[in-house]
Amino acid sequence: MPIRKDQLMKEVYLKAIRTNLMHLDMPRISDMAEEVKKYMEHSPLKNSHFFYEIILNSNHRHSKKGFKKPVVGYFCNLIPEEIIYAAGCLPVRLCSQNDTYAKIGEEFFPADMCPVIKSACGAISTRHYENIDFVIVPAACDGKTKLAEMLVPFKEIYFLDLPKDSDYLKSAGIWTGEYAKFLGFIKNRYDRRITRKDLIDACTLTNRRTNIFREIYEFRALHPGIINAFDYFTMTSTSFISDAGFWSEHSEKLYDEAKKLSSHNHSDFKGKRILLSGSSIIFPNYKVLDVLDELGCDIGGDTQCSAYGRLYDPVEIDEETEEGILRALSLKYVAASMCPCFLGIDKFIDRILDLIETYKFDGVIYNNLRLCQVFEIQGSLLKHVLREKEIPFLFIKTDLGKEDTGQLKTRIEAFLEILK
Amino acid sequence: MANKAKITAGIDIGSVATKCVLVKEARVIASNLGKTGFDVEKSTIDIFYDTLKKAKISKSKIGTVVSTGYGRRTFKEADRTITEVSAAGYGAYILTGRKNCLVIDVGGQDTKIININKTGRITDFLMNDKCAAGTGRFLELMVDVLETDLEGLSNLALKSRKPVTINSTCSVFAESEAVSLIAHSVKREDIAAGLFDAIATRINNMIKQAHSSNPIVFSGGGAKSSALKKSLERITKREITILDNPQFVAAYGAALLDSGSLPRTS
Amino acid sequence: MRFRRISIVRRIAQVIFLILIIYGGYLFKANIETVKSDVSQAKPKTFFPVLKAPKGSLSAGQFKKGDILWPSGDTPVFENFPPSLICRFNPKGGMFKACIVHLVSENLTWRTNIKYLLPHISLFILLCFLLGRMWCGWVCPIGSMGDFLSWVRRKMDVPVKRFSALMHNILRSSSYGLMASTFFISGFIGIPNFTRFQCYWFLPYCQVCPARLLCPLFGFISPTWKDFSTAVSTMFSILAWLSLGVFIVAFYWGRRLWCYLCPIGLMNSWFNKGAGLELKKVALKCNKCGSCSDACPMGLSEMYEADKDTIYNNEYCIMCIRCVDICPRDNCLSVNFFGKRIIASKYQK
Repeated sequence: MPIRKDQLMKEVYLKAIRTNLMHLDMPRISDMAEEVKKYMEHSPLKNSHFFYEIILNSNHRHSKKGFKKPVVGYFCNLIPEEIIYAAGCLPVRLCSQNDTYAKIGEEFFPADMCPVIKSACGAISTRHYENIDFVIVPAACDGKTKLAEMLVPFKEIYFLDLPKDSDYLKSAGIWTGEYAKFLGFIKNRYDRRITRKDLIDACTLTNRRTNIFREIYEFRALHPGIINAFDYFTMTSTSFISDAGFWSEHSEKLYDEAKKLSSHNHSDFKGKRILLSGSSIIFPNYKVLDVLDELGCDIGGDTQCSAYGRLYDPVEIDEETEEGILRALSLKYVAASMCPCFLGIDKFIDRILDLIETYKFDGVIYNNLRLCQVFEIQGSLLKHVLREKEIPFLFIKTDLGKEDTGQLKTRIEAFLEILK
Repeated sequence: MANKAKITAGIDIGSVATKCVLVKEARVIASNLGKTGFDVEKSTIDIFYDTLKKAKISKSKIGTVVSTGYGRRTFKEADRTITEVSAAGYGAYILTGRKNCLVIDVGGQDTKIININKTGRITDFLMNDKCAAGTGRFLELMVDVLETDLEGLSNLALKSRKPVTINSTCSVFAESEAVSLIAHSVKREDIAAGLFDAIATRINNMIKQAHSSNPIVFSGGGAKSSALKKSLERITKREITILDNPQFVAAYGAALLDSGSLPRTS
Repeated sequence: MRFRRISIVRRIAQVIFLILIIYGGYLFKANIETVKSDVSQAKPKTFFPVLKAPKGSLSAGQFKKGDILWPSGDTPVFENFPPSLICRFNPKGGMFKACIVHLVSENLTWRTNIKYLLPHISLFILLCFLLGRMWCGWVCPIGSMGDFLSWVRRKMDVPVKRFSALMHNILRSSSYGLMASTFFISGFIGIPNFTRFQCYWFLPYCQVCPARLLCPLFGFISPTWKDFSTAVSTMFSILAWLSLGVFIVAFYWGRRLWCYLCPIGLMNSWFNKGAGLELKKVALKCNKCGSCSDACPMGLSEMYEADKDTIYNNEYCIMCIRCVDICPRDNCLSVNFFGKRIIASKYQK
């Protein structure tokens, strides 16, 4: 059935594109078993193994036949997962930073593009995403907007339009309207009644995730060296693909274990504590984490859209009417979003300054994925503000490939030598 | 000599050349330079012991050995390693008499801009990214094209009145452009000056990003060329001072940082 | 749904005050004869002096039963002491406490000596100075009844209507108009030559106030719904219905839209700036989610807009503290009392 009355692309063009892409080699699997094992052995916490195993199995999970719920894919942090949960489906975030998939993506789409987009294109073309029913693409950055058209030959796309100004006063009505349309669409597609109670239950589910995440975030900032950066980012990466309740349960177990470990050996972590900001970090793109770990630093905090930006804000429902719930959802996802694709850099800079003030980090490292314009601009604006406040700041620009690890190491090492 | 003062050694293992200095009481008492070559480990050990031999000092008299540069971790005799950014920065700071400065360090394969404030603290640094077009490597390509050596290239450029503009951003393409200019009978000194201008433009782009009004000092192997200095002064429109023995600045800085504390507080 | 800590306390407080206001008089029952004898002995038993209706002025007998809340038929009820001002009075004269508009309106007409009013007015000013417009958010019976209407709306899954600043300004100007005309009329009919108008124009605002129609229902007494005996009373009856209609519409769809219009609120709002109780925002901690502005029943968005640390004491704020309650960022918004922090926003699981 068509997603919109006017489909994203005419059938005749879709056919032409598909025909052109038919000559691709058999889709390749990205096997991440080696890296998973490496990080698993590195971790001092047993409960982290659960999350690594999710990654090992994820290649096969979505293509498992008979997976009982419909799987709905989406991008970014702007889509209300709660609506998808309320409809009895499993939401899966498809943002990926896998070099293998990016190289596949380069074969049929421009190479000078955001690596996340390339990776997403490459991934969806593999058979491991067959099980996904449809994909929601928000109008975030230019890349994501065009991603809708790039993916439409492979999957059905629902496009969520959002205004560029993320000022709540101006745009809250528009967001609520878009979410209401989406709610209507998903009700129609799966022929389900979604009551207010369903929505509120779904919000409670995701808020449970937020609860445990906030505790872990604070714990990591105040007790460095126990939950290391690899475990942390693996946890957040797996929250993309696992059910919120399931994920929360195991995160709580990991948190308990970490607390016990911290009380037994009062670790006097002597290295530097860094605030990592900039483009998201998703398994297996752990190059920067490897370098920082080698140099003895701990990433005490972050503002990534894959971690903090995704899981820190709760849904605060003010009114239990359907409109009120949708509005509250839009406030959580869009109003509080620090994504540089929107206007509103204040939120981001405030966040950085607030985190430094609260947790007293030693410095800020801004990791920018090459060819992402908006993040680079945001980074340079941040640099000027931090320079004025005399907060140490390092801007690094890198790609998914590992060729520039040496250069990266020199820069980061030089930065660490400067820190107080 | 039974001398109570400690002698420290600083060794800067660059991609092209390895530089070693021995320092006592902040003064250089010996220095040595050699090609890094393929076997980094062997050549650095040779150069180190060579320096000791020249200065007639035995290894036992050396207090701390600090290595820096891209090959710093391969030198097994080092007690400490430090990045070339901190080393070059601190070295320049001491050589200017503890004044704030903006250091341009042009090495074999990389160029660094380091901003130092008056307490010797590095406030900002930039390094060339993925491309060696603003580094010594560029010059090495050009000496072949113009059939001369580094000193000759410099002298040629200084004679020029009307430097050409080299359009290519890439060193390899710039070489082709230079060859084509020779074929069109453009004067060699103008081409040479144009080449130095091209490097200076790359470096100037980095200087502009540093947003610093500190006086500029020049270090590294590339600073030996007064033609490059002249081009830089013309393009940046700022005065540039070449530090003494510019190629040894990083090694000197490394030797001074033996005690492990970099200036950190403002 | 999660219960929020401050809102729970506030709802309980609202219910308690509503009960106290409407039925509290039972606690302080006294006989009119006792009062009269006290007055004649010039030794009032109670703390506040007796306010007597002057000779020739409108007295109780001319009011019909149930006009102002009168919980039991014959036993006069003496309301007593604060929190502040209660819209009831003993129509037979004597000591009473009234809502500030009622108090001012009535005594403007009666030309009561200011020394008898000083305790009441000082108490009012003191409480407002300490607590700002907290009466509106925590005590006011009109507000409590209205919030109930809002609850009904939520249960019926009807979305709230958010009004623009223009609407707020219009209502605000109307409330000034209401107050001014009330006091003018009250003052006017107190002039000796014009006292004959008192039987029509006495307590003009109280005649149209929705509480007059609604509160008696709690005592299972029917208020005077209509009085078409004279032209003026017909006008007041129609205005009263209109007022009730506005009350219902404003509270049902607009949460606290009525509070922009209410003259009692208007008088309380003068004290918000400089009051002891104020709201504070630490701008650095804000994530600009807008929940505070969404939660505000008055539809204020200054908390959201403030981009540097601000002390917030907007005259429209009814101190319901829903914003602080809902804010998901620890220590971003807080309630201060003379600069000392009382309670701050905290993420509640």
